[in-house]
Amino acid sequence: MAQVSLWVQQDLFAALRRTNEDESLRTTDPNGGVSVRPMKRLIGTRLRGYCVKQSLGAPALGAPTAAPVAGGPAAVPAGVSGAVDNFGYYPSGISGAPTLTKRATNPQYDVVHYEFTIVINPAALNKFYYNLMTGGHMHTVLEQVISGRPRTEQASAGTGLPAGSARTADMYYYGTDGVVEVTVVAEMLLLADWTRGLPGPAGADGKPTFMYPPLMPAEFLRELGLRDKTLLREADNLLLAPPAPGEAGGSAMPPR
Amino acid sequence: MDQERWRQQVTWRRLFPSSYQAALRQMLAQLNPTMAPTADEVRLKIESITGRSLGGMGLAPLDRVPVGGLPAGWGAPPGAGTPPPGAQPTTAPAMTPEEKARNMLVLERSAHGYMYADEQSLCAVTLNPPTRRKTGTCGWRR
Repeated sequence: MAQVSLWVQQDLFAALRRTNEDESLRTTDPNGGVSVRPMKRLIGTRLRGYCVKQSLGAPALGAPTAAPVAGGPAAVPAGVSGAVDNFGYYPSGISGAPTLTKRATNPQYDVVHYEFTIVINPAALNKFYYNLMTGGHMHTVLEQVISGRPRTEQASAGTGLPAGSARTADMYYYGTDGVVEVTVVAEMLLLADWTRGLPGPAGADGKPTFMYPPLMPAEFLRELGLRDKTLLREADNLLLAPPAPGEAGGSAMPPR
Repeated sequence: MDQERWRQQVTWRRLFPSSYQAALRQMLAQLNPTMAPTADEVRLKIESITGRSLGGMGLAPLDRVPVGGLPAGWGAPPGAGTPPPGAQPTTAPAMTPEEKARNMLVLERSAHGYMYADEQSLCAVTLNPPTRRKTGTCGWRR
């Protein structure tokens, strides 16, 4: 999941850079610092994990239902039709109502939810969303929570949540532009042929071959299968199939 | 073959955190980030100001504002801002050496990069979530 987090941050940083280098959004001196740039501060990013649909009547493997975070999906009882779970990264898991896009992980693509908090000139917000959703992987902004007064606390390591320290107030100078703090929940689509490998013709021994090797670890693929068998492709099932008796090796996972 | 696969997996897992953070730092550098000053840096700045130049003189080098505030009514047009009868005389807010040092440092840092981004908070991604450590699964309890 750290690799997925890296992909998310890669696209997010590219969108931030493109927005910051947009001359139409810069106010004055091109060599100026934070005060003349539209993007003021990146407070933190957090990966929520893979988004999978809850199956009716099967709240599935004891998934804990965490309290919703700010800007996150509203908590719903497990088993409600269309409800989704985030799993794989967020320590306690997030269960919630289906998103507006109704997308969830399926055999064609994986859906990854993430969130980030930035301080930005509100005039540049639409341009930033455009840069985020048109560059890199397929991103969609699901929700946004705009706060008129940016936080002044330092972000705590790893979570992006405030550590709470009044002594760090006024340590940030954003210039004379108006700024808002925005917490964005977004989703990224990863094509299964890329993350789980592009299957080729089966080998002589019946094992799957891959034109592109799978990037997703077999353990995580197995977790997906435990969650819902319909999420796996035929090649995934062959990959996770136990070895035949007498055959050496525990997994058909090809070496990277 | 199995030994080779095992070696690759172990090597990959051990090397991944460092390579991940290196990649993240490289991406972060392209943003030309800057960071807000810390309390310690402000303290050092105050010491550098008060300890050498400010001591006993009431003026900092290249500072046009005397410590203690401007005279009342300074800069106002004649007759403007005349307090009503009975009102207490007002003075401009004075900047303490701490405030001056902090403002100088904040301005320096804001001009040092294009946006604030704390490298520590971005790099410290939980590579091994607590539930995974506890259950041995990918954050999932069976």
